[in-house]
Amino acid sequence: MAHKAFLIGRSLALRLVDCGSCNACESELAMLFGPDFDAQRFGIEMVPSPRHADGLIVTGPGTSQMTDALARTAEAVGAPRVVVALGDCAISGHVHRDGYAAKCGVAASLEADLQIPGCPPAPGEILGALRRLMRKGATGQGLAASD
Amino acid sequence: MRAITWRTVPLAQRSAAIGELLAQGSAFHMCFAEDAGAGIELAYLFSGRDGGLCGLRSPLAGALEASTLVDDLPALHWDEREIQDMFGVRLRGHPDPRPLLLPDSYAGAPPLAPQAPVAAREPWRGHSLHQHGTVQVPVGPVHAGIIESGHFLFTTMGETILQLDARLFWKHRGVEANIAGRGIPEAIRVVERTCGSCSASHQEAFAEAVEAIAGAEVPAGTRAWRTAILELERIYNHLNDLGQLATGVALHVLAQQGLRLKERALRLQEEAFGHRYLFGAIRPGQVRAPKDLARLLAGLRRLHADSAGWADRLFANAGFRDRLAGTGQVPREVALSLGAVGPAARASGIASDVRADLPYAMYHQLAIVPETASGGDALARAEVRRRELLAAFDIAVAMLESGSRESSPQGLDAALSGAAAALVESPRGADGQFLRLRQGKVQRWHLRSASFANWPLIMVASADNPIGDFPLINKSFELCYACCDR
Ligand code: SF4
Repeated sequence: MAHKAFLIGRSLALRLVDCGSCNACESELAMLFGPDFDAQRFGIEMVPSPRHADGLIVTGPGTSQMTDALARTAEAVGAPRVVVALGDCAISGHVHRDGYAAKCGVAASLEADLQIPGCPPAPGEILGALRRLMRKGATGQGLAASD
Repeated sequence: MRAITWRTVPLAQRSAAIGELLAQGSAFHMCFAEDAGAGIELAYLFSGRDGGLCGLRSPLAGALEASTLVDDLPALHWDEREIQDMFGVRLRGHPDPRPLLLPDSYAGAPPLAPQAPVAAREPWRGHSLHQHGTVQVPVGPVHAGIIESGHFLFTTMGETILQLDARLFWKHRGVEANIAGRGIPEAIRVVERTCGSCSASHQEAFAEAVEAIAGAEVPAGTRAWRTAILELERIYNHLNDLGQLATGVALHVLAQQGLRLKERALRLQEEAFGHRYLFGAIRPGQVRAPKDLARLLAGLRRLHADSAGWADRLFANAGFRDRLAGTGQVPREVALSLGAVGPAARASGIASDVRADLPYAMYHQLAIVPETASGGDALARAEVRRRELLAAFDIAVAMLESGSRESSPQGLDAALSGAAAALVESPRGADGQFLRLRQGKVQRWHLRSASFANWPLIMVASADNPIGDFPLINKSFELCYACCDR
């Protein structure tokens, strides 16, 4: 059984899975890779394949149509992996909660290691939260053992 | 804000009635179904040359079916498929009756006609060409970047795309069904979150529809600030969309500079209106007043100058022009027949813009002249956006200066009943909404976003292009998946 702490220390490679966001959460995430925030200098990267990723960053309330794609992308990352729920929709379903086509966020299918609240969370907040996660990883504190 | 003049026509006479309207020069805006109490009706909305909205309503004659009208009006292609999914109404003879909005796993009654029987549903199957030498390339729904979810199925021969089929609606959240029964303040919080990139446009159209139902006059000062907010939304979107094109042709410095400009625009919006994406800025009868007007104006003027310089450098780049020219072409006749809207339509030479054709907010006074280009390619779409971006700064500044804090009209929170439609020119084109209220609660809300109207164009634009250019073609439209899927 691997420990998630081994996964992240000085770098964090994430794959985005959009499960029904309004796209503002994605827009803020994209701003991390502009000159104002430049998350790459902290070792944070969005990678083009789940095979390159340490984990997933998930947005949106979890639409039923995306359920399978999310599960299969998570599967492709392999364990141990981290799951980040980005935005209120991903955390709880927010305004879409309990509809016929969306659920209560990613929690319904994956356990999130990090929740970043906000509608949408500002890029500075996203960056701060990801860096705190990385520090936890570096010191081995506060991260659950993975499946 | 617009009330609708309705005319009831029997199902069998829809084709003739629509033909007549089109012959008179009326423009098609939306088609939807609703059950306002007397059974399911199909509704078709047009605007006449006089700027009035006229609607045709056709009650279903017993059976849950009607004949398709896509031969009369190809723009109805997706609307009819949506009605099929959401109301369980079969559109006989539709050339492509596959499911559109609902996932294959959906097993309940049609979401907007819960009393209708649960129909057996065919799973979605991609269209591809299987001939000697063709290769099928499926892509998505999860993509290799920060991109919304959608699935594309390319049939290629060598590098060339022969055919593109797409399955969208992975982000379908059921917004139209979910807000039924909610009060106005609660409903608009959902409406503005249907799409983060066109949020202010959605707020404006919803507010206009409520105001039309109430017969309320919104003061000029309020309308001026709303106009400014709508142009701010155009500014940050056009900056984003042009910057995406820089990314698409690997001009990294210009792309990063574009992100910087977009960030400045978002910060100005947050400082002035309390939200980076303008959530909460527009409400029925109201607008959020800019917090520090002088600071906002100064910031906008600096951003205008820097954006103009950046756009000049982008368009002066020979590589940028060369990669975009001739890429993803949509001929004018195709754009017209598919009912294209927004910058994509204007880039194919169609001079339509809701701000000019059916002015709302303060656009009556602004005499907008639609920015057009004739190429119909990615370069033309970029050119149109650049010109609109620069014009939007002038409009926003003028409207901020002429706006004022005024008392809002009364009676908008009362137990309103009635129906109205509203059209707003979002950054991607006509954003149409239909709203029916009963006792102050939403009975039916329908959104036909610009992206919904324009997605089918991307299939046309992609054919005969190298598959490697698809991301660039897609970016040259830069459509939202979120407000298409709802
Ligand atoms: S949390 Fe807010 S900003 Fe993020 S996807 Fe949901 S509605 Fe959009």
